Amino acid sequence: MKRFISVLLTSLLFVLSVPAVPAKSAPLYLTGDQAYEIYLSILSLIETGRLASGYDNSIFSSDFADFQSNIAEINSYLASHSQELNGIDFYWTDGSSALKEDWVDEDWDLDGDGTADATGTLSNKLSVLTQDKIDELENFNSGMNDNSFNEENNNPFDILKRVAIGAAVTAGGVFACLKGFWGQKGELTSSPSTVPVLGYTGYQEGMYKQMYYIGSEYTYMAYNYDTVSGARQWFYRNGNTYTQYYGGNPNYYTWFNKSFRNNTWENGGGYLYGSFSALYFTTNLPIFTNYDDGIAWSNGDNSKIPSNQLGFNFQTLNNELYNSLLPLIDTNIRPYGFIGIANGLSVARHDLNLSSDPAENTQQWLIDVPDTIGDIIPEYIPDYDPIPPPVPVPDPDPIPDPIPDPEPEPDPDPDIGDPIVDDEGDLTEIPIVEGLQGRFPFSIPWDIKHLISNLSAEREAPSFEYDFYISPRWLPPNGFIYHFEIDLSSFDFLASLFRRLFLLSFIIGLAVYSYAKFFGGGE
Amino acid sequence: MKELTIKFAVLVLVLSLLPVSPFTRFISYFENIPFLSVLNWFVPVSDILVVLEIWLVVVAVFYGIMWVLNFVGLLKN
Repeated sequence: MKRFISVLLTSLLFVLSVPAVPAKSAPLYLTGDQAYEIYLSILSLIETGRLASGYDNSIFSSDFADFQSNIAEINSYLASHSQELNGIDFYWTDGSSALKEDWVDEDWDLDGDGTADATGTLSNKLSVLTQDKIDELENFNSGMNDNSFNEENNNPFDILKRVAIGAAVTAGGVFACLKGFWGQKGELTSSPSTVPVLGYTGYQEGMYKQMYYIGSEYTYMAYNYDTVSGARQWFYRNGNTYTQYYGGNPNYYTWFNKSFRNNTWENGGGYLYGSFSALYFTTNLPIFTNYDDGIAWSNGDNSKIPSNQLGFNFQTLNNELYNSLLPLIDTNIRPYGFIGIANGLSVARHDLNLSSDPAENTQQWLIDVPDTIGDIIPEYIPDYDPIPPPVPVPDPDPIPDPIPDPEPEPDPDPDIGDPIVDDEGDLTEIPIVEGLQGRFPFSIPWDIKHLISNLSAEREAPSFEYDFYISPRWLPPNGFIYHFEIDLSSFDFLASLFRRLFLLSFIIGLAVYSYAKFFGGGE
Repeated sequence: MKELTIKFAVLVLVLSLLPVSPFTRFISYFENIPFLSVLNWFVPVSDILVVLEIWLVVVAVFYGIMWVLNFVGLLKN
C-alpha cells in the first residue's frame, strides 16, 4: 500500500513537472504511452478522490472527468469478446437472471448480424453480473453511501476526504495541462501551441460505435465504421482544417457535429466553439492528408492507413492491462470496473515488475507474497462493515496540573535570590511571589507558563490507521478497503533534531528578547 | 526595621488588591486537547517549559535585586 501511494504520488509529481515540457521543444515530448499512462493516473486520482470523498459513489455521473470513457473501454472489452459473452449467463445484482437484450448497449452488434442488438441501457449494462459473482452477492450493495458527506461524519479523516476532493480537482487541472500531449499522437508534427490538433488514438478494427466523453463537452470517437451501414469514417486534413468523412461523403452532422477549422471547432451550422480552440480532440479515426487514400480506405483498402498513425490501440491496451490487473480487480466482465484501482495499479505494475505469467497473477498468489507486492493490493474484505470503525484518537497523556496549588506559608526569611529552583514549589512558598503569579498583570508570565504546560505531554510519534472504504456496486462482493498506516516513528531521529533546533531557536529568541528588554536602551 | 516591616505589609496589601488574573480560568480549556503527544513529538514543550521557568526565575531575581537596591536607596531609579 505504501508503495502504491508512493507510486501515485511520484507519478503526480512527475505529471506536475511535465506540463512545461511542450513549450520548450518538440523532442522533449513524452511518448504517447507515457502520456496515456499519466492520463490514466490522473483519471485514477480523480475517480479515487471522488469515490473516497463521497462526492460520488459511482462512475455513473457524467458531469466530471472521464468516467464515460471508462464505460467506453468496458464496451470495447465487451465488444471484443462478443463470442464469449454469448456463452455466458448474466444476472442482475439481485441475483435474478438478466437477458442480454436487457443490458447490451443499443448500438451494439454482438451477434454480428449487422444490426444493433437492442434496447439495453447504460445503467443496466453496469449492473449485470456473471455467475461467479452471484455467490458473492450477499450485502452486495451495502456501504454504497458510507462515504457520503454529512455533518455526523465530520471527523478529521472526513476533512482528509475533502482534501482528496481538492486533490482530485487539482488533478483535473493538471489533466487540462496534459491535453496537449494527445497532440503528440498521430499526425502532429509541431508544437501543439501553434497547430490545432486532432489527436489520433489508434485505429481499432472491430470496435463499433463508441463515444468517449471528457466532461460534457469533449468528445472523441473510438469507432471505425457505422454499425448500421458499415461505412467507414475518417478524417481528411487539408491544412489546418479537418473534415470528417462518412464513407465517401463529408459529414458534419454525425457524432459531435463539429469540424475543426482554423484553430476552432464549428458545427454544421457554422457556429464557432471558441472555447474549444485550446482543446485537443482525439479520435481513432484515420486522418488522411491524401483524399484519394481516404476514399480507398473507406472502400475497404486497409493498406491505405497512414503509416504515421500508429497510435494507441485501445484494444491491445485493454487486453494488456486486463491480463495484468484482472486478478486484482477480480471481475470477469469489467476489467475496468474500477478504473481508479486498475489504473493506479497499472502505474505501479511497471515499478513493481509484476509478472506477466497468468499463473502468478492471481489474487491469492499476490496476497501470499506480502513482502513483495502484496502490500499494494487493496485488502479484500470478507465481512464488510459499512460503518467505518471509529477513528482512533490518541489518548492524551496526563497533563500536569496547570495551576499549582499554592500553599501560602509566609517565610520570614525568603531567599528569593537563589536562582536554583528545582520546582515551582520553591517559588510559591514566597507570599509575594504567590501573589504575583495570581495577580494581574504580574500573573502574565505564569499564565503563559501554565498555558504552555497544558500543552506538555508524553512524546509520541504520529501514528494513524485508517480504512479507506471504496465500494462501487459491482466490485466483489462488498468493495475494497485501503488500509492506511501512517507511522512516523521511523523519523524519530529527525524529530529529535527538529526539537533540538526548535529549542535552540527558542533560547536564542528568549535571549535576544531579554537583551533588548534589559539592555535595549530604554525601549 | 519597623518601618521596613510596615512598608512590606503595605506592599503585600496593595498586591492583594490587584485583580486576579483573567486568563487563569480559561487556561484549563487547553487541557486534554487531542494529539498533544503528537505535538510534543514535533515541539519540545517540556524543554521549553524548563527554559521558560528558569528564565522567569532569573528575571524575577533580577527584578528582585533591582527592587532591593532601589529600596535601600542604592539606585536612584
